[in-house]
Amino acid sequence: MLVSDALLEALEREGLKVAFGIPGSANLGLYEKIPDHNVNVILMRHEQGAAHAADAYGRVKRKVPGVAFATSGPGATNLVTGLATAYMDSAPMIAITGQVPTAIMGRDAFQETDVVGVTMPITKHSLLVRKPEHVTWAVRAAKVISVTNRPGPVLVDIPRDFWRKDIDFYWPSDEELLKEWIPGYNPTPPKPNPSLIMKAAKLLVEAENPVILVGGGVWWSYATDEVLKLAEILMAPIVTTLMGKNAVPADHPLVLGNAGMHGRPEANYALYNADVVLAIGTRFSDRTVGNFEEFRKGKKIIHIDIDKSEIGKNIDPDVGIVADAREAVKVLREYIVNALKFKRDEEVPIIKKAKEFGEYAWEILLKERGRGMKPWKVLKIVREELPADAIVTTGVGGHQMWAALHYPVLKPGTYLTSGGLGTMGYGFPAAIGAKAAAPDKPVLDIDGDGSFLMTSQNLATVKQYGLNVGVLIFDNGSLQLIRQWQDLFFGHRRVGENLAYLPDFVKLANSFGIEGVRPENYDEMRKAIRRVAQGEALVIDYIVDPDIMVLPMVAPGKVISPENLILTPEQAAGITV
Amino acid sequence: MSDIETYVIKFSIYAAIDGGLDGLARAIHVVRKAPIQFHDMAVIDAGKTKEVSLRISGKKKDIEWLAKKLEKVVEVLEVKVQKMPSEVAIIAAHT
Repeated sequence: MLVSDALLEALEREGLKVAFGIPGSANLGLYEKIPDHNVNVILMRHEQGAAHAADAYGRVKRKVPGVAFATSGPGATNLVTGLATAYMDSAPMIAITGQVPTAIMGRDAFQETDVVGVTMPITKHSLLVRKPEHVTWAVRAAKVISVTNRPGPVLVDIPRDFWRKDIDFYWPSDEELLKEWIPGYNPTPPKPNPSLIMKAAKLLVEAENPVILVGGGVWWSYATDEVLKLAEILMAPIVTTLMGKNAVPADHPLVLGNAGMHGRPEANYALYNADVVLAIGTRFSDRTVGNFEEFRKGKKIIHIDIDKSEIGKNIDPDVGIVADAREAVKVLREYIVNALKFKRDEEVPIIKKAKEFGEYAWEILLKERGRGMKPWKVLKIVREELPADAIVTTGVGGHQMWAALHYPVLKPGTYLTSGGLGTMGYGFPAAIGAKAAAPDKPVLDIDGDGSFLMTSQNLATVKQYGLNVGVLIFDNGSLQLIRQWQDLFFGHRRVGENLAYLPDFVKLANSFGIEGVRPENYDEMRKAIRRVAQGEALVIDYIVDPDIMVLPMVAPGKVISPENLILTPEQAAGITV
Repeated sequence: MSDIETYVIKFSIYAAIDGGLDGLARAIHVVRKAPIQFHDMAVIDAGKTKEVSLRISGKKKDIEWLAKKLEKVVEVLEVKVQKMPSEVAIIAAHT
């Protein structure tokens, strides 16, 4: 069997039947054989888009990573931002790149880049296939590594001269793979340490105001139900990180929403004032807690994470439990219920106080300001019109923060955003990847004008493959968060934020054969969103007043506390960053 | 009193598939980002593995964090951390 056939056969056997990519001379030998296999390859218009689409596919499927194909050199380096995005958000994906032939490798051949070397710090693993017969081993290893433990991207680089080499197809068993190929990798997470579970349980039942901080790991470990059950036993509020927003339903009575720099006031209040924080599957990002030392003061921390290098990295916990989140939370709950016979009947007091603070803050925040349709009202319409299981993706910028604040996620797994790397341009190709993963669900990319423009060439892919996604562009003619930071913290010196000469997004969509609309009032907006909900591909150009700042926010470097919340631009006066 | 001390981290890299250079490079990428001071490193060929000794200084917490990060590298088989006086560490790192 040829190596190209063996690789495609391996992808099929691993269930990796959807790939996003662009052909080039170093992977044409692979593309040649695609018609003979059950692998559906979607042509993207830039490799960055292929990586984001594969990342989103993996985020939706969880145990089936998306696959990105790229050629050597620029094709491979164009994947880099997408790989880093997936790495920072622990999303499983596999990149398969062509490499220059072995005979000229290392000699600065045409389109040669050491992509394995380039991607080492931004992938969970990367490898060059050095012998043709290793190809099936490499694909098996990539799959196992990408989806087990803390998920992440894996890159497999294959020299061009291998594609037509004849090999005996060999399918290694799991045992062979782990013993002979990746003996340093253990795909099974450790069991939660019983004595640490007991210690954590004691802290939680003795706490007056425990708060559960949910991170993206709760989604990856299928821990949502266990977390909700534990919260109900403790009657403790759940707040989330930006990634954790995707992991719990916002309409659960104990969920207060996402905390952080642009978090909801009630969530930030609860997190900051908790006496015990149970953090699950989160790396305690600076965007979630702000100043680490300040945040740590006056509270006990229990940290559950599958990755032991996360325990104590940013915040030193009182109890650090290295384990799969679902397993650890389940054992913790069972110990609290069965051994300690504990169940709280009433909500912990901090919930009432947090909600009161939220009411105070929202009254200020939602005052009419600026011209035209207000972002929070538009997002309310989006939520009302999209079904609960619709998938929303976002770009990065002001619109992303608006969505984090005002688009409640009702069904876990339906909110894909670049939280860690903060990659502008993520939202649109991610929507395409999500649609490929879940063709029956409506998909909407909530994007910014600047962000959408970075990957909008993939409109052609939407049309070509009938991957109907909607795009809601927050069009304010500027890099809104940059403008906001310059206005608030850099003396109003606006430099490089003005997106002059933007295209007419309606005409841009039309030029790709896709419909576009520019709603002028809330009724027209509702009709447009409804079309997306019904499965139409549609670009919605939402004109936003650039002077409407995304608030609340906490200045960078400050601890995320109620006192530091900026509710009006005037409150930012004098803050230096 | 300074809380900076000298340590030797020893780890094995699985080298049977590719000779171990990629694993070593990946490990070095991890060390580069750690908040420690790097002194020197020795690598010995042991057949299917490469045995690496790394002499570094830093806070205990950061050294332990680095060891955990190294354990995550797919090719790394085992990581051992030893604290030692700096003059002894020089010898230990090279034997």
